[in-house]
Amino acid sequence: MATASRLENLARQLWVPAVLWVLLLIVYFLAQFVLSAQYTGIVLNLFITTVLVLGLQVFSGNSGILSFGHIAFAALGAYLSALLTIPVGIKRTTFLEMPGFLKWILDVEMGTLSSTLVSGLFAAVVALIVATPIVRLRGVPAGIATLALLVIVFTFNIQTTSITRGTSTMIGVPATTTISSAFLWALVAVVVAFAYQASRRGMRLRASRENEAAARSVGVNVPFERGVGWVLSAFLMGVGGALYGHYIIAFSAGEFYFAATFNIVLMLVIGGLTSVSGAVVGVIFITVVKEILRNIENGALDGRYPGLTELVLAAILIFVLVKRPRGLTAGHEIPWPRDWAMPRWASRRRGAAAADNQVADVT
Amino acid sequence: MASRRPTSDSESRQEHTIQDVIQTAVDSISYGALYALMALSLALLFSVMGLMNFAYGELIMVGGYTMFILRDDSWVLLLVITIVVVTVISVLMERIAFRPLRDASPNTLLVASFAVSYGLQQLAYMTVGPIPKGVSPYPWLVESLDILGISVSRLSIITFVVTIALLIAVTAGLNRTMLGIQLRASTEDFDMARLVGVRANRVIVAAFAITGVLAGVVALCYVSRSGSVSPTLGQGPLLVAFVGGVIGGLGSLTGATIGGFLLGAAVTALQATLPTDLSSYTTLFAFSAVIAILVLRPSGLFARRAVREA
Repeated sequence: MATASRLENLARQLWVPAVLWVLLLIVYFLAQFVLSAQYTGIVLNLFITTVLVLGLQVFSGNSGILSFGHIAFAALGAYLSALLTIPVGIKRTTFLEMPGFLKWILDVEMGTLSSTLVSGLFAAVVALIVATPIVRLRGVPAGIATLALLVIVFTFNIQTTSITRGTSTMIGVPATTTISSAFLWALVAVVVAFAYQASRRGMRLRASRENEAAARSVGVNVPFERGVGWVLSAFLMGVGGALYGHYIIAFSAGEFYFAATFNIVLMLVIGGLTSVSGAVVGVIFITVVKEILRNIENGALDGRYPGLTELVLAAILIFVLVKRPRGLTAGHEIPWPRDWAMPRWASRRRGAAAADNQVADVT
Repeated sequence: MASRRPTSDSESRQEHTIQDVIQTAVDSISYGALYALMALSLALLFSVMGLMNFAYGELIMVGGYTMFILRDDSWVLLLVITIVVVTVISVLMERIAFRPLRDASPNTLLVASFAVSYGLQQLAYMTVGPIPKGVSPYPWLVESLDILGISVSRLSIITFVVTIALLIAVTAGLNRTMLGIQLRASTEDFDMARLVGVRANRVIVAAFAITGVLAGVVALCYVSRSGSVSPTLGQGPLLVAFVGGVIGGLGSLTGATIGGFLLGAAVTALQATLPTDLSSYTTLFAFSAVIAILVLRPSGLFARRAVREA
């Protein structure tokens, strides 16, 4: 029957975002009604991280180019949103050496929602400016270039003390990110990431990921499509960075560097780079593992081995890279129930076979 | 880079005498050569197995801590054990993390090397702690030496002699020995080399061992100069060598070595001459140059072949 299959098609299309929404909703309810208050911060962080990892997924997942530079956009978002929302009185006394072209910001006091959106747009504009060289690269050179971007933005943030206070923390950032607002933004990020992936543009970019030459031959303008993904993902990173800034309040440039980059890359790669589900699963999985490890580190081991958690996480990442290179979800979305008879995402061999064309082992 | 400014020449701030100029020149050349050794190591691993090894900086950190533990022993012991420990760690790194990923895509290797780098840093936090440990060099090492009436620190001269000698030795080894020829063949075309009978494991372990020895020497020279060691010690020199390598061309051993030398020498000279706040922005320009070169001249300024892509 035509109507039934049309309905099913629609349901199939909405299935993945719906499941991810429900998953996040369960986490939200657990935090609000079941878990004790000490977990509120952890869950709040989980939602912010979801926005950031989805931001990274929009570009890296669809283009196949792993970016190490996305945290730079989060840093820009966090700093801009902080500068826009810190009460005018505090700003006037704190940022005495604000350069002339930015003096106007001292008299601005925005609401959080608008400043978050402006920060996202700002990150997107910066991404647009730096896109020209980045989208021309692929593979390792692209990874290196994005890393260079991270170092450039970090160096700027740490040296330009008149704007960012450098190694000192920001003062007077309003603590406006609540568990509910972070949750809502995570839901938005899921929809944005999924809509882009399912869209025509997303499809073109994914085609270039699978086979760039073939994609070009059917008329896909690969650098342009990469640029679209790059700018959209920077927007999400800017929003995520702003949310993060309004959550931890006192942050400095070091907050947005290698450790933060490692954190989101770890979650995305372990969850499964090429799917939106992978990003969300990675965030939830790693957050849970991290909390268990932290409890062991501070409980049974009594804090004698600081850094143990991160060490184990690094080991887990290498283990996953070896045993399940496409991540826990093998890079697939959560399958429609009727397809469960042949669970694609549980079969490692299918995923491995589809993995990047590998060098034949000759020896 | 900016935060780990060497402290040895703090008294030379007053005036630029000929003395200072010569000391800076010797320093620039010797530390340029040090960064050249590192860039050469990175290029070797990159061309043989497509691995951009960010964990290389952590080898220097490991060397630094070995020196810290052995700081009261005789210098011969310290020298030998540091080099041995770093080499062993380098080979272990290959065995544990990179061998299972031998046929993985370069992207996967890049992530893995990040994980190894991060893991080793955390291991250092866990065992030694975040507070920098002082490794005071032997008194005779920092003494100034009079050459034709101009005094130059002995450490600079030793670094100069040792690194240049090592560069020559490595070049000779790569050109004259069977292993060296196999290594060079592998950097040209690894699959082809395997087809004509080069054993993959042997060549790759050799590459890790050689880079390990070089990292040991770099650690000895670098930490003697910086005088302290912390878990993130390796990041600064790694970034300089890495940028230098990219500028020169990571796909070619010669190109990367020249690039590492020039950038290392320039950075050392700028750190000694520019005021602090200005020289910290040099990082910014160096990395902008990286992006520009990757786009405009992907094979580097001094090399023919392109950086290997996915």
